[in-house]
Amino acid sequence: MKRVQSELVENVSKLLRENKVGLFIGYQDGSLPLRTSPCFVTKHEDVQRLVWNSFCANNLSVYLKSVLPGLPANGRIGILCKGCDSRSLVNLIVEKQVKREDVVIIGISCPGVVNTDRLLAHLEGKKIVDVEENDEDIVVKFDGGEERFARRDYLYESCLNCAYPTPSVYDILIRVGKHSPKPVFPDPMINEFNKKSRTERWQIFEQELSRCIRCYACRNACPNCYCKECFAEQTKPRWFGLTNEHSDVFFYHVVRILHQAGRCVDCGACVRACPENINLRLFTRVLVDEVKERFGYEPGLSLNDSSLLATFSTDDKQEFMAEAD
Amino acid sequence: MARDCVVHNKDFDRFLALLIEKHSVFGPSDNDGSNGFTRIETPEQIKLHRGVAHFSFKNFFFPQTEVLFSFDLASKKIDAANKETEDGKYDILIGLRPCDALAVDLLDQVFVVPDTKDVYYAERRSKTRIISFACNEPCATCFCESVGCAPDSEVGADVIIYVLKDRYIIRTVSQAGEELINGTGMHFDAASEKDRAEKEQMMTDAKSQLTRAFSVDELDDKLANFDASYWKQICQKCIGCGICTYFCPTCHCFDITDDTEGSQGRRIRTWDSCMYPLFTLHASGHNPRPTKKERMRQRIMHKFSYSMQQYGRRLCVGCGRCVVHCPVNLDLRAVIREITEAK
Repeated sequence: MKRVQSELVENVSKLLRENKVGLFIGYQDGSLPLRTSPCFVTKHEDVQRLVWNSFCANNLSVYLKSVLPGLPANGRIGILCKGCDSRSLVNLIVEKQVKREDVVIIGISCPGVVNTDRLLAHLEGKKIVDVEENDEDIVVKFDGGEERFARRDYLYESCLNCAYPTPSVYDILIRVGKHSPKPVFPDPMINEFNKKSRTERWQIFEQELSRCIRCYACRNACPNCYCKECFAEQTKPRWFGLTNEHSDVFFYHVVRILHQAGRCVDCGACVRACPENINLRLFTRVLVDEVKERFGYEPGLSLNDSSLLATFSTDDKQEFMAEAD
Repeated sequence: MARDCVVHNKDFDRFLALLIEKHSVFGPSDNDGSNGFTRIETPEQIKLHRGVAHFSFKNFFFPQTEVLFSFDLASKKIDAANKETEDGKYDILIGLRPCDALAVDLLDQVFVVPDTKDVYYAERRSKTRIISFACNEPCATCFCESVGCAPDSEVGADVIIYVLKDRYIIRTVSQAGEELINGTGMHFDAASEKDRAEKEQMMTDAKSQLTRAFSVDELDDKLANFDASYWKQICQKCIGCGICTYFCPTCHCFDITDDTEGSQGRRIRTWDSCMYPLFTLHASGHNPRPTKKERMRQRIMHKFSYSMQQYGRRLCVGCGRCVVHCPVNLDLRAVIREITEAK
């Protein structure tokens, strides 16, 4: 990890010194244990703030969907991308929200991100003083002892089944140890879900989404959600109510989820942002697998792609349009 | 007026049972639900969290969705939704931490104002008594001390309960609290010097676990500079969701909309957030807070500056919920430090 971090710092420092970018977006240590926080560096003397570790959870491509205040005049932005982040960024480029030439991508072949909440639950309020890690383990030191955790056991679910840990597009690549996950298609979680009856699936949907407080963190943490005015809040026309009653909440989520078809890269940013731990990935992952199965398409893998929903082929499967049931 | 009573552990559940028998009691439980505080049917259901509960009490007095009235244009009838409850009856909200109790007091200052009283809030508030629990074990995200609150702050509470090793000290703070305790019909021993000393020691220990997150000494001067350059750095990592405002026990902005079908409809009040771009979008299309810089500044200014000018108090109680839940770890404490340390 130390090697990766110094390689990162060196590269970013060079980019800033040579004026190849005016801003670099990476991670810094967070204010809470086992957390990092997005970090915006504009001066090469600040590059030492940058870190790389198992807790670099945010999908940083989210910051490229809107103009950043305080963006320097030369405009080019450097960004650290894990596999999933780079796919989000490629999707933003394919959907013409970002120009490829405006970004310098430092890719990192990602070994998966660790679920902080699960680690903290295990540590039960112990006062954490330090964390060390290697490719296999994380050692958390706390008042009166330390505990070793196998990284593999604490990865986010989205990471466990990640098929593209290495960025699809990058300018500089930093290799990080090995990536342990062995992706399975279709996703086992989805297999289970799909086996259930329509009523049972609806019950799960209801159960999960009834906890929603409509804070829109899932939407705002997602690089794909870049509408200037979200339909959820639009007043002209007003599509549905602003309440947290089930009908309004479900309407919001159904539309949000459906708008992810052929676009979601299953990074899990929505799940991590959700303060209610709603398994939002369950519903978008259904779409990811369905799009792959029906159209052989996975978003964010190539800059030459056309957006799935903007293309048409006479060979496209369409039997589902006439599906009975 | 304050009176300190002692209840031993074995009798505490009986005390709670008496409250439950006479009143509708709401408190933190294993099943917090989206309302934060749930109806408590038996004493065992009350589950105090370390530090604050996941949700604050806010939804209780100021629900996220509230039907103000329903109407029918055809028959020209209006049906006000707030039904008066039985006279003399009141509910109990139990298990708030002192920071949340302080937040109740702050919200009162917003909603229960003589000329512009919010009848919906005021009605519920006047029929509720607050029993808070002093905080023995603050969390790493707690910073009540930095904003003038404390683990044993009594502001906003009618009764505050101190949890000692084998007994509780029940302290009546207000006249209503005194009546509430008397109303149980239970006999209480007065707290002895020893009880009080033990309580003081626990509170001293609790306070020693809190570190000063920031100093507000120069904050007023710093915030006087509306156009300070630091805002554009401070806001950078914000992704503009509503988590900080929805979890905040003092944020109280709302929207009012009509939900209509045919000639019938409901006028509904829902929570809103200054972090949302449409919050200040004018009908003309102009938006005075077009970017997250202006929106973030508004949130900080409202909590730490405008409220000082309006009420002489800050609208932050240091509960730390915004710190815990922010998806990008944009820590309010760090924001205030950055402002106070700016040149």
